[in-house]
Amino acid sequence: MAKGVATLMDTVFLLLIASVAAAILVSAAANYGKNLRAQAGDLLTEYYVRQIIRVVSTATLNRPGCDTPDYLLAYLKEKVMYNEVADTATLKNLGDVLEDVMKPLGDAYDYAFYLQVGTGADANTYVFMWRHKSSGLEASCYSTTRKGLVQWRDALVSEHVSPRAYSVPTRLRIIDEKSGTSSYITGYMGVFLWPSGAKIDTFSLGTNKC
Amino acid sequence: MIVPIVLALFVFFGALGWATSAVNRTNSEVDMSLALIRVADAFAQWGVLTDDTWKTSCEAVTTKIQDVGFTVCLTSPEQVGNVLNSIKNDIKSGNQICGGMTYSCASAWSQSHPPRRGAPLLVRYFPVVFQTSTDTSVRNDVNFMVVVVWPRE
Repeated sequence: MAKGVATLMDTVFLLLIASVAAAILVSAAANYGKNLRAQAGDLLTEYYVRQIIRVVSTATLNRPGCDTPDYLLAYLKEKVMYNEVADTATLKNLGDVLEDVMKPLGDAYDYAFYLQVGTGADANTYVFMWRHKSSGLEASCYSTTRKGLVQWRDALVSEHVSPRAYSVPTRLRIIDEKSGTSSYITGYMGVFLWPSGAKIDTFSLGTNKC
Repeated sequence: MIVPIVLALFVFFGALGWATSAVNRTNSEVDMSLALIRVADAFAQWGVLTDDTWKTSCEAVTTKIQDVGFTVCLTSPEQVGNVLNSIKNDIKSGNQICGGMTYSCASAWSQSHPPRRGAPLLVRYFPVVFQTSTDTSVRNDVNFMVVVVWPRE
């Protein structure tokens, strides 16, 4: 009788140990590679954003009154040189290229492109933004500083919209208005992409210039 | 008495089988993501794609990337949705993916082994610039590179 009970207890313990081991296995396998999988997904999205900058760097546009297409980046650099960046023409030319780039994503994402002239906190920074509203795609442009851009980016992050961002350094030529001499400086161009519909405070960017 | 022992073995080996397949599935997904980036970057690295750079990249990736099946095709921004739908239909009917397109690239193995229905598949599209030139001008237009990757089983 006692031997039978002991055997029964052994099998119950075996079942218990097997169940615990199975539970540990299932839990470990379910969590295995969770971060890795998320990072691989992020990598693919970041690659898309990186490609946006590559496209802006190499795409061409048709300037009015000109037979041959010109590079969009050359056009932007020329605008920087003459200090005429934040205007409706730039917004339209840049918007035409970015609209093509964003077309397959539909109205899922809002986006912004910026051009920073210089590297300091007070460097002139031009921000072009496109947001999907009930009335359609709303475009706006701002002239701010690097500090203002960072504040806006922080506001974007605090909205928990996980913006994707990518930027590259670029060489810009500027003309000193007083002396009329020109010089080259380092700047940055970058892009932000975030899910549409988020309430984004643009206070730090100043007023809409376009 | 035999019943609890069989039950214990069944529970343990069942969980072991499930865990092994879950780990393999995750590894395969990560492998495919990295392979997709490698394939896409082979084409996008030029900055501007042309007939020649497309051919050069295609030769390079079909030789180098052998661990997964893949197909890359180039389309306009307006046609991305249609291409994605045609890929779905190609898989259903067992046809070669992007078969009739002007710019498509797939390894010999991928052409002879299209993904079977229900197989894990990774499809992504990325913007690229494609150059068309005439005697008097050069245009760089926005196009999309659609990349499809599936595991080699």
